[in-house]
Amino acid sequence: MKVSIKEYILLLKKYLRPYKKKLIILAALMTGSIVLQLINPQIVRFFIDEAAKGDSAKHLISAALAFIGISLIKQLVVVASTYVSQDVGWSSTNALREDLLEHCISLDMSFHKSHLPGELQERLDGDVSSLFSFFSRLLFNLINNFALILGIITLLFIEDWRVGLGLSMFCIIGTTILYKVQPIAVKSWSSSREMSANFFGFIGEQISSTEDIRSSGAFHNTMHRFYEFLRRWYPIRRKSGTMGYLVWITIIIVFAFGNIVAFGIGGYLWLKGAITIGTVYLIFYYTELLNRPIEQIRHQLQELQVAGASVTRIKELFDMKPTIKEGEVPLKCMGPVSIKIENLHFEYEINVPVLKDISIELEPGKILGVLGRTGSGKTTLARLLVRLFEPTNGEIYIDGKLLSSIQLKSLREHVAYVTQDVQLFNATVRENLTLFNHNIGDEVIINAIKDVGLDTWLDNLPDGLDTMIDCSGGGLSAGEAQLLAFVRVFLRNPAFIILDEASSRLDPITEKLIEKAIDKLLKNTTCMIIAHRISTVERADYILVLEDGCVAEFGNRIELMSDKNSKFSKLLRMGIEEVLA
Amino acid sequence: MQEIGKKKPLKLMWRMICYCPFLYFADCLVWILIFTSPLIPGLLAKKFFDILSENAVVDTNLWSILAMIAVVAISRAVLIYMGARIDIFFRFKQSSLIRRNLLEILMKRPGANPSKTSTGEILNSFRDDASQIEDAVDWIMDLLGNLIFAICAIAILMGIDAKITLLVFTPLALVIVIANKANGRVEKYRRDSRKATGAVNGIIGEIFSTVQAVKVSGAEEHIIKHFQSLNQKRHKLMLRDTLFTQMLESIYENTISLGTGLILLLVAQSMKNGSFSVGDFAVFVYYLGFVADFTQFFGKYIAHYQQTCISFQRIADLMEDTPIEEIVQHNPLYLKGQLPVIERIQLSEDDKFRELELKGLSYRYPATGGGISDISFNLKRGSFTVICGKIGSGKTTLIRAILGLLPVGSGEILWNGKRISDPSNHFVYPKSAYVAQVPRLMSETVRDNILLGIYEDDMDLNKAIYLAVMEKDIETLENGLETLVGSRGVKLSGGQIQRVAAARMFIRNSELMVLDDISSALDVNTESTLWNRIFELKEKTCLVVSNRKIALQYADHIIVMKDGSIEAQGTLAELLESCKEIQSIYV
Repeated sequence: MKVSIKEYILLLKKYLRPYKKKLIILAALMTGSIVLQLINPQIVRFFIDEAAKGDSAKHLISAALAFIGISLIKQLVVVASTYVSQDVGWSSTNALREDLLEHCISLDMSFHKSHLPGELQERLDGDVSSLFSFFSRLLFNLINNFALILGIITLLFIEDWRVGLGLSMFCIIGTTILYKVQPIAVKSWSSSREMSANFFGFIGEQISSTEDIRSSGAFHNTMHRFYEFLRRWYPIRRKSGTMGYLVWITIIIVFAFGNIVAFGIGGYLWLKGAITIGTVYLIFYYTELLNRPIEQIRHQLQELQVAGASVTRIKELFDMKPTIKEGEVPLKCMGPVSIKIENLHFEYEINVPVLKDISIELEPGKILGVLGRTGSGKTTLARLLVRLFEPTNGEIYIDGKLLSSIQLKSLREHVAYVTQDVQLFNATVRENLTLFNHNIGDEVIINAIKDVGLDTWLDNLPDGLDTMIDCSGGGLSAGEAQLLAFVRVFLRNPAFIILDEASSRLDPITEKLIEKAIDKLLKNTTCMIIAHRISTVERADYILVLEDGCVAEFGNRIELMSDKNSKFSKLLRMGIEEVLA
Repeated sequence: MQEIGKKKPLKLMWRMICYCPFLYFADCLVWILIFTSPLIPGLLAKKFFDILSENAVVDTNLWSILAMIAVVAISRAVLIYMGARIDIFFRFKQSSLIRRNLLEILMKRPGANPSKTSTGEILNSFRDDASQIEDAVDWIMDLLGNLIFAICAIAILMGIDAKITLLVFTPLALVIVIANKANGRVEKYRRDSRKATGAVNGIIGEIFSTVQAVKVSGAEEHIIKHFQSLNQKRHKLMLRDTLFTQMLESIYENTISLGTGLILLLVAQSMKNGSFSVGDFAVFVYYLGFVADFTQFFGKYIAHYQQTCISFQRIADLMEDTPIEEIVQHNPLYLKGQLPVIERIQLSEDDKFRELELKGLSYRYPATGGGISDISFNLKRGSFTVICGKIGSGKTTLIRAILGLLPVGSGEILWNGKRISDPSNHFVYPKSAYVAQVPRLMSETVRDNILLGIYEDDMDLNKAIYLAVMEKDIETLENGLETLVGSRGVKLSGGQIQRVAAARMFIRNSELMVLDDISSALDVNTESTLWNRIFELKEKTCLVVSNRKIALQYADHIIVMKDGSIEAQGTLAELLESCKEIQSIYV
């Protein structure tokens, strides 16, 4: 796999465009530093030749002073160009990070299930950071170095065409060899980074499961797998590491070759009396000066390997497209919406249907209770309704509009989904509740917290809404976390709410506590409640019983209750048995 | 919190070197040769110009110099190849040792997640801090090689002209002093920028752990804005950091040009009268570059060392009370040969469970002040004890405090009458087993998730699956037990995950079984089946968090929690009469 220049350029164009002015300043600074670097060897030649002539020391001293002055100015220019290039580098890669984050969030849930957060972290920051050096230094220095080489060669041609020819041959051969070595190294770097992403994915998973691992006494198992990872990792790292050194070795050989050429031609021309000893030194000095850009190009090529591997993988990420396509129709609803599901069919994997031929209809403001065994497809149905997945077959209509035609933004605005697993951020209570929406006022948040009955919890927070919550949920009971998820819904005022086993971890008291609040909320919405407990669906107008992904029963709750043979009334009896047993 | 300071990292790094001393010695030897080899081309250059300026036309000498340049380069290339192989191995061992020990320490530490650090930040330590330390150890030999080169070079130059050598190299020494003065600021800027980087990494990790919530609530826009503000902060701090470093670097670089200029000034006179040859000038300038590189590298290394101290500090913070020395403890990495066999732990007669007693157990969450206080109760072998109580009453906290998943607060835990000082290492398989409220699965097969390293033929996998009411689910899974599940249970529902964790507990056949609200994601049928199967188990002791009737009815002993303390305890019949709290739960 060779990283094509085209991909680099495409990325560059996109992310550097906004910084045109700064780039021009940078170019000017770089040109200045090249010119300054080219002058100094000329001064040294003048110095040596004047000294050989035995002229007065006055010329020599002013030459030495000029040399020092030029060096000082050059350093100032270097600092200035570092500032500009770093500034542009951070601005552009931050933009890339943001785009990549947005893109990755928009990808399908199946993508997120198969990519661990630790792995994505490595992609979004690790890969982009190696691209950073590409943006901020690599490219500019590369141009700078090539310009310097070109300048030196030109000046050498002016000295004597044989010198110019000899050293430009050396440069061409040298860069060609290096160019050939580079792609081999990029490839092994790519697999090395891939491996390290897997490794850190594994570590992240173990770290977040310490509780389970410890109590299961599975510590040794973790270590065992760690050792297995090391064994797989080492040969890959050895290969990519050796490749990196191979580039260095090549450069040493190439450069010794350059020295030989310089000394050879210089010595030959001097023997013929064509040039002065000062000029021989000038050739030597310029060849040494070539050392620096080539030495740097070595580093830069090493970084280019890393950046190349990163570009490839960033492009891979960008190339993944969400199957969930943006719709055009906005969902403009002030009140509850109607829901219609027609012949819905869904499979996560081909030929493993999870939902089969589901058709139901729900009028605005009605409440649907969904019952079924674990694995019967309840959660999947919810996920389809919020468009986390696309149906394999069949249609869903919300407010009479085809789900896939609705703008995602307006869909998310009007449809709320409360899952059993409450996901928290390492952030303040406020940020956790508003999900970083700074437009929601504190008063609204506090009211919502009071609505779910968490007033005392709020009062006990040491810094109020600014109290930090950690993402492991330490200090929060599962029930409290669940209630916080309700607060999130309360802050949004949706037209359709899906509660997926939302009350499952609440004890009866707390359930009662929020029931009032839910009543208030449901007054103006359509709702689907997925529940295992009969009490949870008591408020439902309709009941849907799912079995192996099929509709086992769907109908009016009252009617089903009165029908002794209905599955629902059987379930009700089992619930009652549970009470009596 | 342990303070690492400036000197301790040196000791720790020395311990790391001692981990593989022979490898390090070989590595050093080769690399010192590599670093000192440029001495020869310098002398060859001198010779070349001397031949030219002496006008002694000895052609063959001139061409043999060219041949020698080639020989030196080729031998250097061979050395580098050898050095690369050794060095890569050495480096890999160094960072792997840190990672191995950190993993072990984090796994063995009480408590689930460190209270203040996100997984993203811990991963940062695994990734960046370990490589930082790896570099710090490895670069010692670069430093050594460069130093030897500098000493040799200065000795050679002193032989040519002692006065000029001193006049040129003294400013270089001054530069080191200047750089050292600036180190305090380098460290501060570095720390700030690292912190900002950690924040960016942390939020990325969290966003993807909570991606479903982000998506369904349409919070993308706000989250990205938040991410943007963290990015901008990092931009600013990083810019300050690199600019300052670049300025220091510029000072170093200037020493070469200044040095060359200085040489020019000093030799103006002697070159004119021929006592200082062009060859002398060539070797002076040639070595000057390398010696300046050394001073620059020395300064860089000091800065890197500062950063390494920060890395060690961050690791120490993660390790909490574990002494930092343990991070460099010499432990095998098993890169070759047989992997260690996981031995089945045998239970001693003494440890066989007879009785568990809690005396005044308390724990407070530092952040919220909530927690449990003064919990005392008894648990006998073969009993079924249920902890119930309202939301937030401290049920889960109690369980976690007993099992040592929270740091020890006050009070005593007695196992068979003996006080347990380290519950986190006591309440493990085969003494106890535990199913958390929200269990975690690994990205492995269902089988591996249940076994977690226990040999299948040791225990009855099918029985465990049966007890966990998993048998039908396994049948429907595409590859049965070999189905791969994700970190958050790719194709498994919440209830299935919980039952996989239950199977994991049952297969361990431990003395004491602890279940935290196992029924929370299960439907009625599955739940009652599960309870009934647990009830059928004989000789089993269970400690269960549940508010469910079926569990309360079966219980030998019920503990009612309220606001972090025991409101009442006894049998269901007793409590229904006397305790209001349970009346409101048992409805």
